Amino acid sequence: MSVTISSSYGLLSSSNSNTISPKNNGSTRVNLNIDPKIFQGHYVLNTNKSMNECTQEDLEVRCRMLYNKTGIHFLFVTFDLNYFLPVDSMNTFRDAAVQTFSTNYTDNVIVALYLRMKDGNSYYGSTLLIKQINGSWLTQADINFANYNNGGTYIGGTVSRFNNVFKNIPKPLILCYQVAKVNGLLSTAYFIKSNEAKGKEQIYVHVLKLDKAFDELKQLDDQLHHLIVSTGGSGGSQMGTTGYVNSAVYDEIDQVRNKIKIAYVKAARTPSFMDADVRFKEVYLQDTDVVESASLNYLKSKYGSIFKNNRLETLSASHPPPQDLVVGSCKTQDESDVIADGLNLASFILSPTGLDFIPDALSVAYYASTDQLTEAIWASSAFLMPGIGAGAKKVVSSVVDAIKEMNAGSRLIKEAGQLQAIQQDKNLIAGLFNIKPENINSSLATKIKDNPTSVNQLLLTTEKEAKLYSHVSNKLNETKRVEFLNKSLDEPSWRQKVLDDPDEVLKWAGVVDLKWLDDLEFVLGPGTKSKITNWINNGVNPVKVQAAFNKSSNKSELFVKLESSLSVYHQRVHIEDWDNIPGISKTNYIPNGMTTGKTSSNWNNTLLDLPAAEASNFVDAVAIELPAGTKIYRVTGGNSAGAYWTLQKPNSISDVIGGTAVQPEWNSFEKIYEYQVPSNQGLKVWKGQAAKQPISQGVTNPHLPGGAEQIYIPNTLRDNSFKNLIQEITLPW
Amino acid sequence: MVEIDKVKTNRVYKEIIELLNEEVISNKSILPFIQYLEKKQFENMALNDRVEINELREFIRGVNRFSDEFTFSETRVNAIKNKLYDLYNILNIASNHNL
Repeated sequence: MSVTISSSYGLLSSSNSNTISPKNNGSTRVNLNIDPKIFQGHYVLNTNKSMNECTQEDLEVRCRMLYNKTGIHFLFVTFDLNYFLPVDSMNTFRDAAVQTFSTNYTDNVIVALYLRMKDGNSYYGSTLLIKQINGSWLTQADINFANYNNGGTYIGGTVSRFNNVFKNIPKPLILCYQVAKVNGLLSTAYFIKSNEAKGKEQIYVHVLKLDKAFDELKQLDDQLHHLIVSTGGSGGSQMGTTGYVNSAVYDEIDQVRNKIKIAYVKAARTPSFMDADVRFKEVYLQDTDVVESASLNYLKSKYGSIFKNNRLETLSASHPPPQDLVVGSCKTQDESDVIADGLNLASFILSPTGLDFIPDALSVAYYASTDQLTEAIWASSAFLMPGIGAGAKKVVSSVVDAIKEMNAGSRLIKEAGQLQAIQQDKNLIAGLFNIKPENINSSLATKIKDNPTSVNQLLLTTEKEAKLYSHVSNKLNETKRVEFLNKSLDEPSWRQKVLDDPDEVLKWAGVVDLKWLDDLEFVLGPGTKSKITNWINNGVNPVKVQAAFNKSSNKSELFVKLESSLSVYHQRVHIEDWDNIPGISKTNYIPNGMTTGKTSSNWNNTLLDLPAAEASNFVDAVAIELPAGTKIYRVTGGNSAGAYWTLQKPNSISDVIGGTAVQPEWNSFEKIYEYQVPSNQGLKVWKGQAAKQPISQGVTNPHLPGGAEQIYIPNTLRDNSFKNLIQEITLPW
Repeated sequence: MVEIDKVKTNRVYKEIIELLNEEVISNKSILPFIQYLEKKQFENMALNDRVEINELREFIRGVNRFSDEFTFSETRVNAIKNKLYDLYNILNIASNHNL
């Protein structure tokens, strides 16, 4: 369904001088083709491309947040007219436009019509018309008032909002690096990481800090310049005096020169800094060349005159900074200030309710710090690319890549298809469960996409319920969080359980009260608690380890066992955490190894026999000779040149523990080695299926099932030439 | 039923321990292996029934498999391995005959 906005030709019949009749095609029948779906999530119709992408994103997210917060749809429509509307027709036109909405929608819609009118190819004017459905159009005075109270310009408005909320949030400042030592004069500029309020790519910015000496030096340099000019260019005592000028001027010149020297010395000894009047987008500051260039170009533009040999120019020319380096700028020119009027007006309209909306990283921090979780989640939707938040903090390259992707057109706001919804839901869900977006793999993303009912139930919870999900998730490690989310998506009963009995859910996740460790430390001595806590942080299940100590009659011995364990899998054996040892079988151990050794009549060499003790590790075994080029693999934390290898490279710890029946007590699984049979040689081995093993001495259930193919290399063949060809390779897990 | 030669079993076990004690003087990395082997108190085991023999055989099987994780000196590696094989064979024969 489309909504047609129309007005009659007669509306334009005006003697007003603003009408350019030759370009007026005589018709005002304008079909904006507004799809009602936009009320379900899309709020900006940029029909005339008058906004650039970053502004459009900003506006779109603000509108979404506005709706979430107030239930008011703020529809922003931009439209080109190839002629000018006379002033007296404009009112009728906008009323006609809004009237079409009023038939279908109630007063929960604010429509902003941004009309850009042109004559031929040139744009001569634009206007912004705003009306709440069934309400009154705002007057120009309203617009001016809102504009005045919100910073005046788009950039001003965002900075104004930034300043208002900045005092309420922790300052995430990070001193980055020295970027320039200009002309060796020890004047420095620093970038400080900060936040700024505007579009997504401008969320993380750097404040450029300048040595205060720059201003002082500029002032002194200007002073010096004027004095020298007054002497006719002779330049003070260094240039000699003349009889035509008052010698006091030369004294003054010398004094200024001394002041300059002193200023440099002071700057070197006790540097002091001030904020520059621009801020740079972090996305551009991942490249040190661009950083240096950005600062030098700024210095050149502000203080170029104090560097006589023009080295700044030389230095800055090699890497010209991007056109939209400065926060608040865009690659393409648009009419952002006009758009800002719309944003400011939205704030103005909401001001009686004390509401405003600032959809960006700053909002996330602000709302989170003030415990307004729902708002924080909504604000987090402003992060259009997964990982951008985390990436901005630590993985520099991913931010750059993310922005590249955004610039390549993968932004949510530009996508009308399914991906947009997936992306947004994914971000919202990630926000609710405190999961790093990069940890939402493709299968989980698909699950989010394919389960709108579950997703809606999770996202449309009350603030209290959202807090429960979030608080539970917060207490889990990242892996468990993902499992928690999967269960929450899969099982309606589980979602209810989280709300009804979060403590039970925490128990499921292995999160327990660690107060019992205080008692244990009292028994076993100082350091016990910190060590066990450390083990828990490294994967030991807190419930299981607590149970093991409770059960143990010799707690000291158990502690020593855990302390001397080869790996977390070994620790799990000691605390009987069978659920978290991969590859095991929870059935009784029944030996299935060979009962006698084997000999090969073909080889006819007893040194190559398979002794009974080794044969017991095989279900069956055949003597074969591996041809040249064959690769074999061995996982171990010890002897790299042992007898037991596999032909297949193991893909997981499970393959080793379960498949080749290697007890965690024997092996730390820290390294993997590869050996390749040399050309023109063979390697005589015994090959067969690995036999079962107990999981530990004296434990019959569970056990290690074996079953994978393994090979045994007789000791006599594992000589130095064999050892020399063994190479450590990267573990596949 | 085959009687296990307890004297011989204990002697071989002790010989293994002696070899390892010599080895560990210059090769400290095998200390965990000695500690593992000493878990079982051979002298205290009656070895009168099949269950106990089987249990000990399984233990020595594990010891031998565990030995693959260690590097022994050229002068002792064969002796240590052969003694382990001997001990396993004694227990294995007794165990198989008592099935």
